[in-house]
Amino acid sequence: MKKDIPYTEAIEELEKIVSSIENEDINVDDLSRKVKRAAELINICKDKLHNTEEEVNSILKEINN
Amino acid sequence: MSEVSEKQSPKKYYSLLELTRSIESVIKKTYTSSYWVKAEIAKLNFYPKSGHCYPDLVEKEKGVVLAQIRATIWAGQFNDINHKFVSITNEPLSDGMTVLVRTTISFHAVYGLGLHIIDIEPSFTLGEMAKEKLLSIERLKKENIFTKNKQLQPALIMQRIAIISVETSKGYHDFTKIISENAWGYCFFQMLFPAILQGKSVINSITQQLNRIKIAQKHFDVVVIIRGGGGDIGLSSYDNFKLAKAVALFPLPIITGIGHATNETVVELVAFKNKITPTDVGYYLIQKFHNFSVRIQNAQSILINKSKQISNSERLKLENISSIFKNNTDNLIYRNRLNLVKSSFDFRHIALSYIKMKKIKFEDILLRFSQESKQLILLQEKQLHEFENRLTTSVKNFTRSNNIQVSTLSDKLHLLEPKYILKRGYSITTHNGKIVTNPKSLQDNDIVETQTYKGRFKSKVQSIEKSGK
Repeated sequence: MKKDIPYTEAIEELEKIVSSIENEDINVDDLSRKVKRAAELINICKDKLHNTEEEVNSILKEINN
Repeated sequence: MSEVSEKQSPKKYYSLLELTRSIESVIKKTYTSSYWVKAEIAKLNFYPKSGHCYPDLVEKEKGVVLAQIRATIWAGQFNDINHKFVSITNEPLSDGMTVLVRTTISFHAVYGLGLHIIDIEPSFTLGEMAKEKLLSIERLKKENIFTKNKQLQPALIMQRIAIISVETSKGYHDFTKIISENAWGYCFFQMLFPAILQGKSVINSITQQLNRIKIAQKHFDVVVIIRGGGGDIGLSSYDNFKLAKAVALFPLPIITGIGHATNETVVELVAFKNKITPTDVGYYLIQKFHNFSVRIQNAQSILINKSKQISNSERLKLENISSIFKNNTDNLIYRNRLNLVKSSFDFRHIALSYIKMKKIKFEDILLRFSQESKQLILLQEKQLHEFENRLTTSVKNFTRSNNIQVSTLSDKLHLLEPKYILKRGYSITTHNGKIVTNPKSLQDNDIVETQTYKGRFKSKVQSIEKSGK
């Protein structure tokens, strides 16, 4: 699974998974597959809360060009 | 008061008090009655403790202050004036309102020039300032851009912040402190775009920085305009149409915190969000992080609970099935064991009765056999006996009938004895003990023995005549 998925898509996919688990009959195999994916998405989202890659100098360079 | 001549020496001068007394008397003479004045209350400056009110009155044109004068409403009149004002406008006297007031003009040697407000005409509630503001708003609405910025879809977490502020201001300091020292470790990226935030320069300064941010807009989620304190007069530029338009049309959400609590400026009205103070802007942004974090946590806890629930129910199902299976097999084994015991019992019973039945049959056969054989023996014995009798009788008869024949034969046999044959002149020649019947068995000079009726003699063979036989 790709890691560079935007966090907005990540949370949407995560909530979709949650609602599918909440509302649908799901077998144990599907459940474990979905929970695994959800865990990845949770990490992506949590990571977003605590990290950013922007850098002032590179933006200044961009603006001044 | 005569003119001052600079050529005179030594210079003639007045003491400050003389000058101010002179000014005071001129004013008193000139402004003898009261006058209706139209002015905007830039700041009301009401002191509840004393009850006195010291409004800053201004007159502006296109947002620029053209005239400003300090006024006074003494406590005794303020209640009446304010009450009269509220009863008509439904609003208390406050900053930003244009009022028509009746004033007297006074000059005080210490406090300077001032107006005493003694009456008010509430129908003049809309001042020049408010009019300009209304015009700006109307124009923005007419051009369909008033709500443009509000309609933007903001990032779920407004993490990358372009800050338009003054680096040394308290507002900027408060804001950065709140977002960078948040207790949850939320990571913000912030970049300052310094601008002048008070006075006439605001319009160009902010517009310029917005243009710079626009170039790098993909690096930002939100723009905040942060201003720390300052008087209302300096805010008139925020009602400016050009600036408000730039804000309304900006491609990123703009959040304002320019610290003006009494009366929202047009810029604040068209901004994505007006949080009034820099601190509140900071909390607002952190709240967005919270909201996102809560969504993650909710998802996580639902996932955990639901997974537990599903695996529990699956386990129960499994346990149920295995217990049913165990019960069924136990039952089956028990039933089969019963059947087996019953079958073995039945088998023994059947076998025994079979054997018993066969035994009876056998004994019966045995009995019948022995009876039949006895009868048979008896019959045979009887027949044998009969045969014996018949045999005896037959033999007797036979013997009797043959007795005569036998005696005749005996006589004949007697005549055939060699003694009688020899007597009648026949002899028997032997050679080496063997009877000679054929002379071919003899050779010349063989000694042969001849038996006659009365004795024997030996003779030598002279010649042999061979018969044709």
